Amino acid sequence: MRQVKKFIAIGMLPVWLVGCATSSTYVDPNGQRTVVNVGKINIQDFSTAADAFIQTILGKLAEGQLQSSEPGEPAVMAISRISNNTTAHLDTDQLVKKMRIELNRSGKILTTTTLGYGGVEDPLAKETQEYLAMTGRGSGQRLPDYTLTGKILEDYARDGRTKQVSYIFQMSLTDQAGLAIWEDEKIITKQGKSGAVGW
Amino acid sequence: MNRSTLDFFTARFWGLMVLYVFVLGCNTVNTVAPSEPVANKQMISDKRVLPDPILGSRAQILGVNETVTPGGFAKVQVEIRNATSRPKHFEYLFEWFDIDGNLVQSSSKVYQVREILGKETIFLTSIAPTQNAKDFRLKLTRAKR
Repeated sequence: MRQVKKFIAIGMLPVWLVGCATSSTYVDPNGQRTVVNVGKINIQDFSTAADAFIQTILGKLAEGQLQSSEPGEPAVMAISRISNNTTAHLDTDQLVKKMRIELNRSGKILTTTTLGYGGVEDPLAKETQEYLAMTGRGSGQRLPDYTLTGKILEDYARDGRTKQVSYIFQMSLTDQAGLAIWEDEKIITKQGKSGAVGW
Repeated sequence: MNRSTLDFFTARFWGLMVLYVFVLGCNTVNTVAPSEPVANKQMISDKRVLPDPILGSRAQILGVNETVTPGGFAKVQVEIRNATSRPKHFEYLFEWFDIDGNLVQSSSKVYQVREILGKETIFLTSIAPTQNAKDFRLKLTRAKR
């Protein structure tokens, strides 16, 4: 009987292993196990570019060069045109939102959601703002001290079986006088071997 | 071994030595800088945990320079040297902690990849994300991507 039980257990082992096995797993999006694709901008690429831009903006803040028009208040930033000049369909918020979050956390630059290129981000907040201004209980829309613009480009290169793609992130902060008070560019280059068939 | 055989191996040996020097020389960096720099670095003492000796040779920590900027943000600069003669890659990440020792969260923090040429010295810099962030930790790891 003991032998029978033993054989049943051994026989069921492959079933258990296959049943418990999974081809999917969670990975840290900021870790080192994320997939790297040559033909597209990966999530960690947006984080890398955003982190680079935040560091240089913080550098400006750290030197006291980005000032608010309201003394004692954080500066206000509005999001202007962020162009995607790559062949991929992507949402530029993957880059911009990360920057906004970190600047918000710094306590020095806040983003307005009631003024922006292409429309208002938060229509309800906009209506509330207008109602309060109309009834004399609010000051209305505060003009942004800075506007954020940018562009994402790509560049392809090939040498034999090695293909290389560079994604170029360009960003600018413009002040009320129309001057680019901060500008930066981050290039992310990836290489890979192409297969026997295809690009 | 006769003389012609000896000459053959000698010539081959020196040919390989010349090739070796050229190959290595193309991947190392020569530098020149003022013998008495004007800049006054504020070097700090640091605590290091180095369980990976191979990484330690690729990204050798020479020193840490920390300042507080006019805006009240801490800024740190770490000098890294590649002690080998070949280009290497490594990844790094700065973490910042507030005055109570709590980690300052960041949504965009991701390991950054850097290439460093043979015998090259580079600087990794980071500015604190908030004025309350006072302490930092630099994480270095071998490049996996």
